[in-house]
Amino acid sequence: MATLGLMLFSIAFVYSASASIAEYRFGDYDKLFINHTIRVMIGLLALIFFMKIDYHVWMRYSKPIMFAALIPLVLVFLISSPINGAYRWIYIGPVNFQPSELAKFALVIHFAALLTQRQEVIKDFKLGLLPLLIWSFIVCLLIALQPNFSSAMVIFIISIAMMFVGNANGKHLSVIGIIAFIGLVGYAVSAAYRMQRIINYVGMASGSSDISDAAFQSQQAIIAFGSGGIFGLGPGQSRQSLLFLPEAYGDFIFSIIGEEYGFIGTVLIIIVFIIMAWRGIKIARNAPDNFGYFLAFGIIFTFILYAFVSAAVNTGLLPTTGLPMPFVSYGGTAIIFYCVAMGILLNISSHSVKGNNTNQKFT
Amino acid sequence: MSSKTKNTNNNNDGQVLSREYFWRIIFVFSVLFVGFLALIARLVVLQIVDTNKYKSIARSQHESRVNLRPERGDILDRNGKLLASTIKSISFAIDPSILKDSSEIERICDRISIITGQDNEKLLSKVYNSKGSFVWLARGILPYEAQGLDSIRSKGFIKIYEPKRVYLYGSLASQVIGCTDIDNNGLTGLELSLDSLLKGHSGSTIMLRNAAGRLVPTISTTTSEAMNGKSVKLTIDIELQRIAEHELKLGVEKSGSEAGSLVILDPATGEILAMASFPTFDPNNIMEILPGAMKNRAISDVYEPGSTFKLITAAAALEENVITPDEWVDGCNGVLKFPDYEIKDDHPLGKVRFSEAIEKSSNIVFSSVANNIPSNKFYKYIRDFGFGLEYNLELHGEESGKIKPASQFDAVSKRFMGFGYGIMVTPLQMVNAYAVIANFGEMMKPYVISNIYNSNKDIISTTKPIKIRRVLSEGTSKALINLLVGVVDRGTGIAAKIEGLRIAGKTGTAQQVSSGSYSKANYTASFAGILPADNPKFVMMIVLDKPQGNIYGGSTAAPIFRNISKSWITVNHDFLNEKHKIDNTIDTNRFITIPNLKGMSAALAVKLLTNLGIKCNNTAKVEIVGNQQPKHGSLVRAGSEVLLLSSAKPLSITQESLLNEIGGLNIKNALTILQSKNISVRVEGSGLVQNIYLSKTGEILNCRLICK
Repeated sequence: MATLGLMLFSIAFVYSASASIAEYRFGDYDKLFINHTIRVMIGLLALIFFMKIDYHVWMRYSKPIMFAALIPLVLVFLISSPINGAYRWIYIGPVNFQPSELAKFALVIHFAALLTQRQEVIKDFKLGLLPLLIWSFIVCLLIALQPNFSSAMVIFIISIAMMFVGNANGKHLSVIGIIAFIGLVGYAVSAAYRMQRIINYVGMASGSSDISDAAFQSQQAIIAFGSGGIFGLGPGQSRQSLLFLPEAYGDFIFSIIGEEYGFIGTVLIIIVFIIMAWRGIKIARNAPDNFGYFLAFGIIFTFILYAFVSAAVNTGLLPTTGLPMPFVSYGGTAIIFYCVAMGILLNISSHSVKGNNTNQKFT
Repeated sequence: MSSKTKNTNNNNDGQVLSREYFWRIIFVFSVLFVGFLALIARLVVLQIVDTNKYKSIARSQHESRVNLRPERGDILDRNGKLLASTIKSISFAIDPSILKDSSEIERICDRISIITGQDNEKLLSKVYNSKGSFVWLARGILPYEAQGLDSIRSKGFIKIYEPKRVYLYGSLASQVIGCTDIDNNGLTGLELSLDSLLKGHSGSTIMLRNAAGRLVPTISTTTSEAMNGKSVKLTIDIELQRIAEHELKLGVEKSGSEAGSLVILDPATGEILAMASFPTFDPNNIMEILPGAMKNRAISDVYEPGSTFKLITAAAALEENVITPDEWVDGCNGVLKFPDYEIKDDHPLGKVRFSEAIEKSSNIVFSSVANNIPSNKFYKYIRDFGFGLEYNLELHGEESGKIKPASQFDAVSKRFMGFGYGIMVTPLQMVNAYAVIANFGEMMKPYVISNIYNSNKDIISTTKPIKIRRVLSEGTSKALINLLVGVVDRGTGIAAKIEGLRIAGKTGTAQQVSSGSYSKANYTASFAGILPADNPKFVMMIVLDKPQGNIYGGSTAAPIFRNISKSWITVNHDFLNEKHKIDNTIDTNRFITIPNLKGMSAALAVKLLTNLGIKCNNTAKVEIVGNQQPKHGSLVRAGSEVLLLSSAKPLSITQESLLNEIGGLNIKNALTILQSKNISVRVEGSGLVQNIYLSKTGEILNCRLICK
């Protein structure tokens, strides 16, 4: 239910956030809105469809799915032209999609499968953890090369979290974490724009108020939140979406919600995500088997982590990155992938063994 | 459930991982939950604590205050004729930091210099030497003059539409009306003193601005409407002013005077009907103004009045029974000697009656009479006649003149004051002193503004005539008028005489002080006149500064009075009769001459025709009347109809047809018509269109308007 509500909200949010940009770019107020609505409809159908599929199928096909997800991740460098200098999108006719969205969930499924299969040897680094790490490394590297550093990092965090929940050795994970951190610093310093963003982030934290070019987005997002106040300016009254926030309908939708619906709106969104997290945790807990347990955790964690990072970026708690808010942003194909994942989660839920598993056993 | 089961590979059937490790999920989400708490804390700071700060930042970047410029009010004459108004003009500038193409700059400057007559080289160097990003090329160009520039659309060539003040009667009453600077701020005259009234208040509206800089209209923002300036209607009659200025100019030139001034008052109300100073200037062209031309001499020139002041001496003496008109007085045969000074008359008199002494303007008699008036009484009358004080007109630069306090009156000063020396006055003070007797002893406050209108042309204030005080009894006033009638009939003022009319007047010829003593070279010649003497309609004061050769007021200033009066009577047949109200109720037996409506706004035409008792048919829904049927000048029965038409298309414009159409119109109306026909125009002179010259360059018709 929470999911459905969020999606319907999303339509309204995207409409008000996108109208001005759509008019400016396409001369049509409704263009982005209609696109989004269509995608939400497709997403709902997908959700219902995948809800009906027994999630154990995914365990069996996790490896092919993983490979299938890697193909577009490689293809993106070969067949698409970069947008803003990054190879993030693949266009198939009128449909464009981000391979990283698919790869993200493929990795979650595959991790759930691997963790289940190698549960006995998971404490052993070579036998248990290494295959997982390799997969994670391949996916993250390909995404980082696009370059989409933030997604790579978030996916890496998801990997670590899944390993952690999958009973991996704490010491191993700590070492991996330290190595990853060192690599991360090196990667960040290697590209000027990332450095700039981090400098801006640090600068902003120390209270500098000048609006330089690079800090423009985060500054504008913060202005959006601030000017919304407690109650907001009202639906559709956003002024920041009048082109001040370049991606008001996408990665920065949370700040537009903050402007239009105020503190009440933003806290409501956060509460909805917390409820979703709560429901997800329960689904995982009641999953009939390890695969369901890991998969449910992976999916719900992905959701909540993305939501958190997106919100944190919007509010300036984290450096500016381009991450959409699940179900809320105008995210193109992302919303369909999220729906699919949600469908899988609901299927796990339908197998749930509440309190004891006697019910399940007799069905 | 609680049992610890380690699954074997590939066993996914009902095997549940030990919930011992469930704490790991809780741990992971707890970390996230702490993150969400931080997020909420951040939102509290942004959206509740600091919200005002961000709201103001947002406002400053979203909202753009757009100034709404008020329209400057018009200045009208007493009959509603437009004297000063505002039209749209274009100003041109260049941004040298954007427009760098020198051939383009040269093309633009070349055009500008052709239009404005500025030096091309100077313009170019102004542009090239500028380090800034904005250089004015020309300001206040009328749209029809700017031809050839509208088509230039280079980036960095800036066109700004600005209102421009135009003075439709050119130099007429220019010292009264004044002028504005290029930014339409009042500089002189009423334009200055009524600046805040005429200017109005600029309003502003808040528009939302997107990051692309475009303004997005919005409904819910605060708009303060621009308050258009008020229009003022003057007491000046521009037709009388025209005659007066014309005659004053001729009189000044004929007498070789340096300057001259003139005021005409309606004595019954104090309305200033005309106020002129010479030399004068054209407020449309303030770059070329002679020194002193802006001075409103009628209120700011102080002079020793000489014999015109004898009125005050006579008034005081009669009212205080020091003398009667028929009393015998001694003219001392032209010389009155004292131990250390003497008083002379130009026309020596022996023993004469007082009335003759005033007719011949005897200094000796008036010095004796003045000497017999008690000092405090004499002072009281001087003060009561308004000397030594300002009237606080709405005009700047009014002088108070100078009178001695009663305590300093002694025999010598009184004797000299008796015939107008030792006292400084302004022409306005003098004319109002004569207006006192013309108004049978009551002094009215002179004023120049009769009505103030708001921008909807509704009257918002009307000046009511203000009685200042009773100075004299009605009897004394009438006696004085009779004495002054004698001056014009038989005495020094005979040059002002118009056969068949009783005119009261007094001449004045005063030596001016130069380098400390009275000069035999510099004189002030003046004349004060009342017309007609029995039922005064106007009182006029004429002052000529330093006439050469013939220095007498009687022969230099009096003829000006006569000429103005004659012209005015000729123009206004009913001027001397009792004013009778024209009955405008429709009397179908009455014939009416159709006026020329061309160039008028339809609303004005309707009003005008209705006043005349003619119906108006505007089925063609024209805004500006381009043509009319029947033609102007034709006689129609009251109650018949005039059809308003839009302007004829310029298919066959001939000089004759065009002159027919716009001849006699004021410039503004003529321009409206010519612009509607796409004819480029050059205006020469000012006033009404007298003649036109049509020429053709390529497809463009050029028209030279000769105006007077």
